[in-house]
Amino acid sequence: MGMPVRAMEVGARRAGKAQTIPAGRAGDAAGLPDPRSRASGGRADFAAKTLAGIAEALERAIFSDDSARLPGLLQGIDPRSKVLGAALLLAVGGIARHVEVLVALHAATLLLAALSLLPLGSFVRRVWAGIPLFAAMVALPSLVMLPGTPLLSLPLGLRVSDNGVASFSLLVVRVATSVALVLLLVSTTRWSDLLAALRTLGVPESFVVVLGMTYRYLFLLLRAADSLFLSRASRTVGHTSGREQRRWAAAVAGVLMSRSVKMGGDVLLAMRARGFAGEIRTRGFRRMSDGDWLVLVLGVVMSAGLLLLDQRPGWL
Amino acid sequence: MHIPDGYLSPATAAIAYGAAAPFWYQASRRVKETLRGHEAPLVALFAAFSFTVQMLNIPVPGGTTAHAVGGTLMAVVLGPWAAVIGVSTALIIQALFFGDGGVTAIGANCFNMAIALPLAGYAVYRLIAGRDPSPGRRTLAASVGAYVGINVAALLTGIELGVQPILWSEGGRALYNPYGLEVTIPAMMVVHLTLAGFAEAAITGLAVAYLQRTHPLLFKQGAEAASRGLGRSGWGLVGALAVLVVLTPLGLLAPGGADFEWGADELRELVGYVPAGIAELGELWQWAPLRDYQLPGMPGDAAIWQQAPGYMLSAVIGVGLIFALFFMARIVLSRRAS
Repeated sequence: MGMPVRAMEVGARRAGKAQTIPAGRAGDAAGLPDPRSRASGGRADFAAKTLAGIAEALERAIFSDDSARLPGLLQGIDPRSKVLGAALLLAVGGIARHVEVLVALHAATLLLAALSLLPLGSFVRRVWAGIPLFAAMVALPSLVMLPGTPLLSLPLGLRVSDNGVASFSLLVVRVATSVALVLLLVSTTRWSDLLAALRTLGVPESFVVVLGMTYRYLFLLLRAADSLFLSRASRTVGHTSGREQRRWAAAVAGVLMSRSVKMGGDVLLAMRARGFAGEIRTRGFRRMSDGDWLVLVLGVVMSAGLLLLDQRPGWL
Repeated sequence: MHIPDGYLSPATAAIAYGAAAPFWYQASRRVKETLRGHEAPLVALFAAFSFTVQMLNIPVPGGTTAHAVGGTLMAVVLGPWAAVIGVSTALIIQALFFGDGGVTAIGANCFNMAIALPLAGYAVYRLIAGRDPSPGRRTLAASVGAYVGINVAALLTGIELGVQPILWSEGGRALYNPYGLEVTIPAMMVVHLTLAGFAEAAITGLAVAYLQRTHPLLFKQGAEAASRGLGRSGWGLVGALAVLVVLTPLGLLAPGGADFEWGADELRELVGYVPAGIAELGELWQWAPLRDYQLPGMPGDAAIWQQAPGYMLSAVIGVGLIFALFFMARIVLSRRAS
């Protein structure tokens, strides 16, 4: 991480505005913080935040690609069965009115994740650490805001109501179950297979091709953004003003846009050079095996069973 | 602003897909026309750009950061329909692959951020910029357009979330998002009228200024696409629908009801009795989700300003359903014809 102070000064000037090196750091260049880590003030710098976001996106893609190659249960199933099954279960997760049904569905996703050899701790963390946790924080006030029979008295005259608890748990478990279903699908299916499955299930071919190409070039642009931010963070010393940072972020957006337009033209020329005449062909799928049909039928039976339970909560 | 799965009822999600479908159809048609069948790589790169720009953290006053959507930026430089396709594709990949935004909520998220945002932003941009604007005016117009665009999207998100407990509650417990319009609209608007709106306006204006300085040719190409713009039919579609939706509560000012649309009570007053068939079939409509174009729980003597949102919401849902039916009929008929 060590960098000559002279080089940093030049870099800082190139970034748009000469930065003064804080006295405490001028003689301690080797001790500068890692640009990917939090800024010295304790709050994450905008560049560090962006770099962390990009790294997470790349990591997630690599994780999914690796886990889709494991010899687990769902990895061996035809992607069409998995897409249809996941869509059915997502619909059940949307319709269900009882939290017990959603808990049962969530438990089923965990069982399927274990049978598909996905590391269970990491799967649960990925499901719960993001959107459901945020949903829980946002929904917390609903515990005391919704009128109903009081269950618990809190300071300041606040009361947790039964309707508040029911609404809170229904939302959080529904969100987590939906996230788990989608994560299970993408963790056990390669992106190319998922797209091919969408095409055979009626999504227009041109749209599927655009999705596929977007995914491919996405990583190129993400890497470009990563390099731009990393180089900036590496040659910036001290604090920059918000105005300066916004100008810089906008310049990154401008550079990325002009690159994407140029790259789009280059890719088209390359495709034409290889004989592309405006018509897109994608590979087909093998016939679905008995096992694939069985999984689909089981998915339908499970969906129907859960819906039935939802209609007859007394059975739970 | 990405709505995850579980916040919207399946009915709302389906209506949002229906509302987004005609815009997707029109956008893909217009982009295909402009790029003459070679649209795939360019659209893919636009979408990848949209995804990447949404990952940028923009510093805002107060020391925190916000994300930009970049929809108006794309609309100004590449044309509004390319922005619709680009941002939609990015949102779909975010939902399917990165778990950002729900899969069932793709229709709603695309309607808010990939359709309403760039179209509203572009409309404002064109109104301010006019034809052949100076660089400064174009930058200002793009900033204001971006600010309006993201706030329109935020308002729609607030409305979609806020109607959930009104329409889908059971015995006092909310089945989906638990907060009503009085919470969701201020929650969305306060953030977007200030921090997020500021970030979107700043990144759009600064990026347009940067691109005009460094890539003027890109703007000439963009001007070509922009001159095709929404297209006469596109402008007509958006403008006429917006005017009609806003005007729907006007009927509240008229005294009495529409002739021959009497309910059982009015018929009893007019002719002295209620025909048996009307009495029997009239019961069916108590299950209508937006009975009398009003949100459930609205008192009968509510003031006009209280009733107006219900009318407008009914109009938006109605228009969405009509488009969905029209679109389905078009698909069926075109398949038969081929």
